[in-house]
Amino acid sequence: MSVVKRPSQKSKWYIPGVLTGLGITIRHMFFNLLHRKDIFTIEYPEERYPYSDRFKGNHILTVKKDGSLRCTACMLCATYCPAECISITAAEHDDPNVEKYPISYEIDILRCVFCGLCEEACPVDAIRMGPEHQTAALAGSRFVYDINKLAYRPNLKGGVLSHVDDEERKARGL
Amino acid sequence: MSWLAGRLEDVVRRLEKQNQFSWLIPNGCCGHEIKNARLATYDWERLGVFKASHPEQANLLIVSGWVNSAVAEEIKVTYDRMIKPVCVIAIGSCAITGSPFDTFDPKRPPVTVSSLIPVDVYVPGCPPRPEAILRAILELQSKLNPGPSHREVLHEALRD
Ligand code: SF4
Ligand code: SF4
Ligand code: SF4
Repeated sequence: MSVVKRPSQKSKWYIPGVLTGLGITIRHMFFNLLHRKDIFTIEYPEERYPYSDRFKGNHILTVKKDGSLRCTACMLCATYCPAECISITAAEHDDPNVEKYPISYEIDILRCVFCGLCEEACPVDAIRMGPEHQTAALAGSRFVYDINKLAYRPNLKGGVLSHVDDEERKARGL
Repeated sequence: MSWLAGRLEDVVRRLEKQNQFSWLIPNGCCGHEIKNARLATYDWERLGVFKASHPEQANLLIVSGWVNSAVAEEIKVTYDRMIKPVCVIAIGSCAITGSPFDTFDPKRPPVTVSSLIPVDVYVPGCPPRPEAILRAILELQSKLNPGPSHREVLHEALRD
């Protein structure tokens, strides 16, 4: 049997210890009541933590000036994606200047690991990681995001313009 | 007497829907985000989620991380011991689809939480932010108690 040596006779009594502990709790309670500004708890639904602009959240498909998708359906992102969650169906465009375009672009958000490799792989800045991250949803809702959700969801206000412009590229001979 | 017991039962059921007593299986890196959502910075006790000291006292099971055979056993045993009705939140791509460590070998598909027990809310992300976990709890509470929550009612009243 091991014998624990108490530092003093007083610590054998637990009531002083309990009162000391309660005293600390009550001191903090009054401190917090008087210093509401110093509380660092984030009141989540009303108050948001300011994340950086480079945050890797839900994907955004960017659009051209005329509002159609910037994506050229080159499949680089789908090939590079480590979780294999992007599925693209390409189709031929009526306009001879545009080679292909995606008729369906789907990301299975439950498989995605938010690594950002699709954004790195894309040669024409057609896919970006956006700032939204609160995407928890009830079972049975739609977790496979389609073009409507990725490019034209309401809070994007008609789509995000891509940095890469075809006319500019042609003028520079790229 | 039976009338009183019935009323008491009603009250208990209503309180059960308003407060979640959580039992965590916080594996993997998502487990740290769950603890982050639980501790002082995000503090999910504000939303009415408390810590149960035993699975039999809990009505909310929160699972995250890669499901190997030992964890699958743990999930099944824990779920069986919990008194129904139980809500389940699956957090992170590992627990939901197993994609981060998927070998794409058809002989060994990853085990997912939804193949073991019914899941109510999915939180995609690797790892999801603590906000996403709190959002999952809000979604769950809005499913259990349709209509405006006490929090919204209070904020409406304070705004006027
Ligand atoms: S973020 Fe990563 S896992 Fe998600 S779609 Fe892009 S490449 Fe795939
Ligand atoms: S998003 Fe970019 S990388 Fe992916 S198919 Fe479209 S153009 Fe290619
Ligand atoms: S989903 Fe990602 S963050 Fe969560 S446990 Fe798996 S690997 Fe870690």
